[in-house]
Amino acid sequence: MNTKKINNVTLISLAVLATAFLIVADGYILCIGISVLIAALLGQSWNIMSGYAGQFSFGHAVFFGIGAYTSTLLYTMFGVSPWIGMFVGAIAAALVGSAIGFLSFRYKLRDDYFALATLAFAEIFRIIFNNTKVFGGASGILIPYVQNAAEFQFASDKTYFAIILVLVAAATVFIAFMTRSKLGLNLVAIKANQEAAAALGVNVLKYKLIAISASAVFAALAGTFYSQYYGFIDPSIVFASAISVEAIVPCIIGGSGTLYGPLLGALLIIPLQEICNSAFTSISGVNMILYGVLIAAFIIFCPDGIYGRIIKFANKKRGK
Amino acid sequence: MTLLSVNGVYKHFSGNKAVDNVSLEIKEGEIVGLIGANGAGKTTLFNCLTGYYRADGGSIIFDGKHIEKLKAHLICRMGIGRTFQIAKPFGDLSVLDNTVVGAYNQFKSKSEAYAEAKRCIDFVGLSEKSDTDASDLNTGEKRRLELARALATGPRLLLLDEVMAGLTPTESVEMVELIRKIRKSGVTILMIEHIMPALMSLSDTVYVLDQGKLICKGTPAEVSENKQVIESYLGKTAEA
Amino acid sequence: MNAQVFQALLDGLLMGGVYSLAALGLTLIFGVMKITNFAHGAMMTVGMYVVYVVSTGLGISPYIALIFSAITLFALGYIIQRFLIHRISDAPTHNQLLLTLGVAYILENTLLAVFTPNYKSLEVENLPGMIQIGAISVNPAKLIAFGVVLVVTAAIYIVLYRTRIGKAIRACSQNREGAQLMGVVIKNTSAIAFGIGALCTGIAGSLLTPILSIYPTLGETFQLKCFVIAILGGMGNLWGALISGLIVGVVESMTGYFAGGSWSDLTVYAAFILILLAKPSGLFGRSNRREH
Repeated sequence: MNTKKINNVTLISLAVLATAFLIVADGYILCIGISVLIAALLGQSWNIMSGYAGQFSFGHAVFFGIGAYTSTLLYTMFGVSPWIGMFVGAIAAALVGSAIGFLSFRYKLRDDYFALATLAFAEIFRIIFNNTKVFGGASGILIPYVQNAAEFQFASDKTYFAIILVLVAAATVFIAFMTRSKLGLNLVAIKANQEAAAALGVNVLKYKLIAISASAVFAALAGTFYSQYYGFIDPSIVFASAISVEAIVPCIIGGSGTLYGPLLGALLIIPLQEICNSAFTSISGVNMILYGVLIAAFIIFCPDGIYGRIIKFANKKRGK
Repeated sequence: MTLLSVNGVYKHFSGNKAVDNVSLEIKEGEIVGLIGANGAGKTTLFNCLTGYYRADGGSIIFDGKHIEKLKAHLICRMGIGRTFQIAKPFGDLSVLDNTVVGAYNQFKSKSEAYAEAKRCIDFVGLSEKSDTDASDLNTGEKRRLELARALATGPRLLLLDEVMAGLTPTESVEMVELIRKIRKSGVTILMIEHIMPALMSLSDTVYVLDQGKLICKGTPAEVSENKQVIESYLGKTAEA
Repeated sequence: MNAQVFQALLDGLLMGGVYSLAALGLTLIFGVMKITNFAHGAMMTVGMYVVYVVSTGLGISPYIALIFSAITLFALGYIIQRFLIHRISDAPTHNQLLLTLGVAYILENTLLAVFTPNYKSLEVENLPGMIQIGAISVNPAKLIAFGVVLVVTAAIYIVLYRTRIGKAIRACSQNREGAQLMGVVIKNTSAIAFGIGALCTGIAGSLLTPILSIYPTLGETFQLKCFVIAILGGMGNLWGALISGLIVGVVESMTGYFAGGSWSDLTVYAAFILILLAKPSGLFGRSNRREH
């Protein structure tokens, strides 16, 4: 099998799984399904900028939080429907992403230094929102419950599931097109060696900014969805480093820089955590120990991630 | 017609004069060689010419236009291609995709870019490896890939930084032929090379760099008889 | 200068000393192994809990329990480097970063599972209350902490500059391949360096135990701060880390005094980004930033 065939098989399996899940699941299980898809969307977002373009972000919470706050504030302060707010948030996140990217890349921050800068930016946003009364301050914002589809509120979790599924599909389709286009080739080239890419006429700064903006858009969409689904946000939730990590981990486990890796990663890690939580109800922290163990184990034993490993294995077999 | 003229370029690194007031001229269609001991400033000069470093002073005029302040990708767009001393393939991409990255410099459309990339891969004799990941190539193939990529950008001037380093004797001979073929196709070449016989047989003009300064210019025959050159460079190679 | 400003300055300086020690550990780890250690804050918390457990369990002073903490943390650091990070020493730097992140989750949440999220605080016997000097009052625990920091730092310097292993560590931080050629066993030297780095942050945590109420995620607060200090001082630059720690301590308490406590972190992080952009080699020039 080649990469294309593996991709097709995975796509069909995932589509069947999602459809069956949508029909059958309800209650608690459906909630977990939605959590999986939020993690998957964050993962795909991180995948664009860090997996493909190699710009390691440790602050994806910035974009998630901006998405969440933009749509929520537009709704609670001005009555703008979150359906519109969602796209305003995405644009705002893309702009902030470009600004962070421009500053960082202009001054040639790379690798761990860039990661630390993104982390610091996320913290700065958290502190600003924590201390700004008009934005609800540290106590956060409760979204009034109206149950109106025009205002992104639904009676059934199935609708929420369908919506986040569409968003994940959109991110995945974007990446699929990206990898087949000049954009994707240039990003992978920049990841491999940006001096060599520049020597071949690739405008490195421009393509890095495209990557960070596209990445920010999907993280912001996840942020809006999160606030509409849970109905409450505060700075220490949406700008938390836990969100930034939740964007990274599905990629590490599933395989960063692969089309379906983050989806598989999310599909594995979220249910595992839930199982852990229900198995150890009296002890807190066990699910996060597992989280840590999985991160460490994949980094040491399977740095390509599950999907990355499958593709490499198949390609090797074919080569022989 | 002069294609590239470098006038009094210098580049200092914290007091160390890596390139010190270098001027040179390259005519269209020439192969120009650049030699000098390790640390003489050859690669630094290349980096200044291709926008990887910005020269601290002096001017670089390519095809009548000042390029000393342009960024690397814009210099490539102007028509200067380069290879790196240590080959830098994009390991995760196939040979074809590697080359397409370069071809997009010339062509907007995907089909044209792929057609050009295929042509260049064919030109350097790598068509059989077209679908192989660049990380799976051997040293000689990686060098060819570097050439294919650089050619795919559609350069009028090609800067080659030790393309023969690490090649087997057979591969070196093939490389010399390939460089001749590139010149025949209308591309002007400036090359750094340590393999003297190859360089001397290829070059129309040779410049010698020593501690950042140009100490000699001439035909291969003239240069190899120049006393200063023999003392500072060729002599040393002979001893080694 | 009025008394309150002076008070803020003094408080900042004393806290800054503790930051310095923790950041010294971080910068040492980075200097030798080029690893951005995200488990640093969690290791600090482990140090705090060791002091807490030993001190309450054996009924001894936390300043004696500190020795247990130092030993435990050295061992922990040694093990983390030798048996985990060393396995991927050739991997891209961000993989090493992620591995330390995984370790941080394991440490932090083990503490959470064992000790619950509840705050714990330690009463130190025979310690006088606030020492009053004119209008200025000083917490004796902070004063002792600062004193211990000076002693430990001096000891670390003696180890690094006067012993064989110290010389090996510094050789590795300057030139890994070179050190290897000179017969330095990288595997062991790195593990010892990581151990010393962990020990520094463990002692820093221990010194905070009598001052703060502790909880399993407390270290997170110090994690980014340590990065800020280390980079401000120039990653890998030991003197730089010490001085920057004091600077950050003072900036923090001054902002807290003039603008309110909730803004103090903002100044620190904003200054951090400025330093990253404008002078990533840090305030003092010399750095071990990885070249490309």
